[in-house]
Amino acid sequence: MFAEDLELVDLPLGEKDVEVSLLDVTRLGDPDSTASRFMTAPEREEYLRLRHPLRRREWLGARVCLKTMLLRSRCVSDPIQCEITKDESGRPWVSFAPALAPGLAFDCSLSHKGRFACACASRLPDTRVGVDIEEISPRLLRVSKAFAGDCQSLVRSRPPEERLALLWAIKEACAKAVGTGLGMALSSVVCEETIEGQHQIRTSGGLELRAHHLLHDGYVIALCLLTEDAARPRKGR
Amino acid sequence: MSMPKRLSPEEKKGIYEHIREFLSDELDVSLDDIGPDTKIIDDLKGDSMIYLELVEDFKKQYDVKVEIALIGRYLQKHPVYTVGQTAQAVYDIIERGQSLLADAEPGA
Repeated sequence: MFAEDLELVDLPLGEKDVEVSLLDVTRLGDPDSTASRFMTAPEREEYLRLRHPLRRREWLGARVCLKTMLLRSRCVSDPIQCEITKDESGRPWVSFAPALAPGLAFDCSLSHKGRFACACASRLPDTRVGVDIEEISPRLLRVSKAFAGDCQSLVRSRPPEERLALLWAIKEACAKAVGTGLGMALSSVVCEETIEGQHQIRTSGGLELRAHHLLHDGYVIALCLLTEDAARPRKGR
Repeated sequence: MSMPKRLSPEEKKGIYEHIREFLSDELDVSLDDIGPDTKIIDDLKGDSMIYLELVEDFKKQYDVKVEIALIGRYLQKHPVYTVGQTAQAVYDIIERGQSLLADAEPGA
């Protein structure tokens, strides 16, 4: 009764047990009634604290997208059986109603840009995920030197705006997987596109991550994965 | 390498006002809705790129030659969410220059 209401676009990013979907937030119905249907009481309180109506819509869209994915995979039968909170570093986390808790240890990530909200749900053990969506636009050209200089040569040839959107999305997705903020996007990261759409990432702090990306309707969507083993920085790099 | 400088209260006020005007223009929000505790993403519907645009704008205006990776490390230690926190970060970048993390990272 909930999942059928919404059209999600499933994104084939090539990771088993990791789902990424998109929701066009312009197709979301009345946000307040959607929040009432999908959000738990603490989530609704957080929603109501957001002042900007468009920010409310995208915040809601990303969470509705994730909860709809969980409904479709039958992890929950009602969206209020799960709650999306954030840990101390700001990473989202799904907690389930007590009766559902055993075996439902998900990692998740959320993103939004323009008309799309995006969510990632992972069943991979010991792996942290980060997802980011970025619009391919001339806006990135203004600040390209600030974030793209370190990895230009290792990403395959693409139109400049697409390449910049890709690099920014990958850095943001990595930052979400690691649990850091904007700082990582500005830090030195080596991004090597090993196969088209697949990347190996090395951060200046010695972390190694794998990433995938694809294009959808003028947007880049990037997924980064950090395994617990890889989260231990390597010495001497 | 750029020399650290000390900003006067008037210069800090000017930077703070410039940040408000920048956000007002870029995000199409009334200046009246932008104060020190305003959250740039949650309250103004900004995004992470807007921080980068702001930093680049101030680097040009004040001829700051701080490496962007250093600013990145600073922001990992001092996350910014509000207009006031953003202004403080800009003060630190301009005043400390390449010594931005000198007090936090021994030997930096």
